[in-house]
Amino acid sequence: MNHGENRWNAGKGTTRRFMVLLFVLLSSCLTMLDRAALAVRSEPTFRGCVRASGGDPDAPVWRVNLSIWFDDAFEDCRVQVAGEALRLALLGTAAVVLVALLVYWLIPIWRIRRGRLLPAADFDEVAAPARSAPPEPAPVLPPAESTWFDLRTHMQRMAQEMAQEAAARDTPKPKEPLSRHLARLTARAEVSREPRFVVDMRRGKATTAVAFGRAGRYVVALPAALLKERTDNPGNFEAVVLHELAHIRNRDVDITYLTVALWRTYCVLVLLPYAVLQSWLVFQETVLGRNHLFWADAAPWLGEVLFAAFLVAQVQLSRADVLRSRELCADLDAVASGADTAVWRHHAVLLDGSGLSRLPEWASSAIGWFTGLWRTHPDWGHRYRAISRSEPSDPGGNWLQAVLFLTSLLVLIRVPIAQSRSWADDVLKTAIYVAVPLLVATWFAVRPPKDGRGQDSRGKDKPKEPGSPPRDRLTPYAYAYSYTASGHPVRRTEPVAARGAEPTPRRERRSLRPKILVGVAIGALLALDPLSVGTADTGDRSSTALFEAMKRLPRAYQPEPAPTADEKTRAQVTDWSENGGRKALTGLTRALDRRSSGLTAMADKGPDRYVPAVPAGYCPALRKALVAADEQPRYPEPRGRRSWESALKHARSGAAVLCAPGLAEAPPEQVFALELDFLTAKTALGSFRLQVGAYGGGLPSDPLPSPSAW
Amino acid sequence: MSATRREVVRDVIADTAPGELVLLDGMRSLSDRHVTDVMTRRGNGPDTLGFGVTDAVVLVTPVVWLVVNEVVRHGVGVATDSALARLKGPLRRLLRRSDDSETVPALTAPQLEAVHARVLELAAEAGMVRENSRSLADAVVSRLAREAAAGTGRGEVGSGTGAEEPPDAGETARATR
Repeated sequence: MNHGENRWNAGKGTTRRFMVLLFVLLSSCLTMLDRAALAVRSEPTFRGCVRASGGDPDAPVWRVNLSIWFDDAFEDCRVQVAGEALRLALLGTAAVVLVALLVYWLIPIWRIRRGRLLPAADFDEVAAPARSAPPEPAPVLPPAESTWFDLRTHMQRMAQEMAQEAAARDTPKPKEPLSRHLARLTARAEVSREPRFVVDMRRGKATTAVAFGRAGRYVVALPAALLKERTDNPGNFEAVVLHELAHIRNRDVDITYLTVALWRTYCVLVLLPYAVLQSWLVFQETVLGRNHLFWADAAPWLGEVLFAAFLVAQVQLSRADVLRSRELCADLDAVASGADTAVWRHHAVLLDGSGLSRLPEWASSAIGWFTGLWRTHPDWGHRYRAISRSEPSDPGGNWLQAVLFLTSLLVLIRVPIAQSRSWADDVLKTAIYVAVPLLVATWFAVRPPKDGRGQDSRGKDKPKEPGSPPRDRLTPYAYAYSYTASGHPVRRTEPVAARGAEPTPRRERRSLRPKILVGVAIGALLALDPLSVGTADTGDRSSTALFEAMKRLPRAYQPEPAPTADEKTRAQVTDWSENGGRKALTGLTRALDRRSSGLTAMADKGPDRYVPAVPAGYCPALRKALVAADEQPRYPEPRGRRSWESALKHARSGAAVLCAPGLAEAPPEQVFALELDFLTAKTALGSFRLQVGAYGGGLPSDPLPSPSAW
Repeated sequence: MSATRREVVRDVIADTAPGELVLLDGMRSLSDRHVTDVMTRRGNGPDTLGFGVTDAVVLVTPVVWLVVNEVVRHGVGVATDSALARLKGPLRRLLRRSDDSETVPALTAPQLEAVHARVLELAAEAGMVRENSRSLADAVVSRLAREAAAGTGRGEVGSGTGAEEPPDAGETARATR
């Protein structure tokens, strides 16, 4: 009963964690490709966008800023550039996925060829007795060779032969061919389609079997030494094979090798080139002193290289953590299929105490803990405790899993969103809608218990003497599937009923509910499409959106950062805005915007022939707006007050000339000063608007005219 | 008639580790060169989904096969020192002829001594304990010595180098490696 519970707990959420891992890989791939595409094309695209807004990219920064700040044409161009980069990144990510699938497809072929793996059916023959000795029973040795056979060696050899004969009598010889034995184990492990068994004759593989392959075509490679174990220690042989078959039944092979293929492809095609590109750009900027223009989203900095290193660690730790859980599941399944637990006990005893004995205990335990984090296989002690635990294991995750999950979120929230209204946004939105419920569901699997108690809290996972008798710790469920070393069941009471009655319904019931919930949540998100609410058309952008967009400009072209505001000032500014300030500001802005700047015409026609234009009703409206502005109380914040007063001063000065009689006879210097006054007033007013917005004073929501129209 | 390398290896395995005969028999469909290729290769590190018992299971077959294979190759190389003989190996491969028919030459005492050392070396490399490796080396040398004894009867000892003029032991050891 508890075996099924433990089995479920060991594998809880592992598929979801694997899926989160895949999301992390894909999202970081997308982010890196997006940043790289933006960085490489930053300068030409920025210059193109400045031209699109009517500005000159080679002009001084303040003039370029006049053209691009709050300019719809520039913002359209910027969004288009960001959208192009995102499309490139999505195509690159798709290419990475395709290559990864190809690698996943080729891994089994490559492994079989590289390892010169031989079909297990070739080893079907039951170990035959040794061939009859050569005709000369007593070796006729030349005198020189007789020195090899000193008495001691000869005696040792005789003793060894006697021991071998005795062992041969005692050792149960396999009575059935290897392939039939493997087919029997496959049926016992409830693997629907028998995998292809091969033998690995290479040296240095000890007795480690491995399952690999691709969906539907699985391969289990058995090391040559394991075939010897089949004769000498059938329990070892069966435990190893059943463990690998459990991996196949649990579909670990597919997702593991898919992750491996994606990770390797991503490392080679994206991660390494990206780290090199970032390092090179940073080197160019800092050491060689080149000042390239970069969009703020793509500015190179060393943190990206550190992020790549962080990602490597994060992915390795996540993968190792999930795989350790899957290994425990495979152990529990192997035991349930009849593997002898003595194998685990034997190794737990064998390896207990081996290790860093020269170091202090705390140091060796710390090193063991740290290295254990990176290993994809739990140690034998942990394995043995997992299969011999009679009480249900802990219901929640652990802190490592929670931390890894949160760091995964950190990676995921970097996903760029261009809001370019193209297919790229649709793809991203769909991915986000799929990821969010999955992440929420995964959190419930990985969160540590609320009371803060870990695995050791109830004494379930406390270190236990590996030598303690295992059988009394085994559950009745495991007992029902205990087999002798020769492969015959000891006691098998209604195995199918026992298997189906206790753990399976529980697993189905528990694993079905989150799937349904996740499916419903994904469907609801796709139907409601909440991310499209609030994405405004380019035609009615608010000032706040434009202000946000300015943060994506190259750093040199960004407005100065807003001052840090204390609550008192913020409240005073809000009060000023609400009590007529915003209305006065809007009125003055609209009044000034009714007339565009004449500096260009002045330059084209020459200062002597230029007569400033005065639109009908311009002067009364401007006077009225100035009077309304004068009636406003003093603006509370000093820096904004300077801008506001500067705007009023220059507007008054310009109006004094423009709206006075005799404008046509005014000297060119006076006309030039007039135009400069209006331009300065508009710039100061724009700056003032930003400061009011930064202090939370609220900005008019109606669109601002482009400075290029001034 | 001299024995082939497979026969010699089988005899030694039957004497020392009969449980491994199944491995040798499982490779009966492979050519000797293929078997050598398989035995020479080394496995990689731990596999992602790998699982295995970590008992020190040391296989005797690769050690014996590699040593006997070196003996055969060395014997062929020494027996015929002509240019034609040197072309024999590549020609064989070019003509896709199997080298399964190559027989184990009769060795002299210094050569057997070198073989003994080589077995000890490979066995130690494979992780075999010293007592077992000595027994294995004795078994290999004993089996090869029987070939030498049979060769003496036929007057073939020394494999072309001449029984009265055995090669230098150190040189043989180097060549064997």
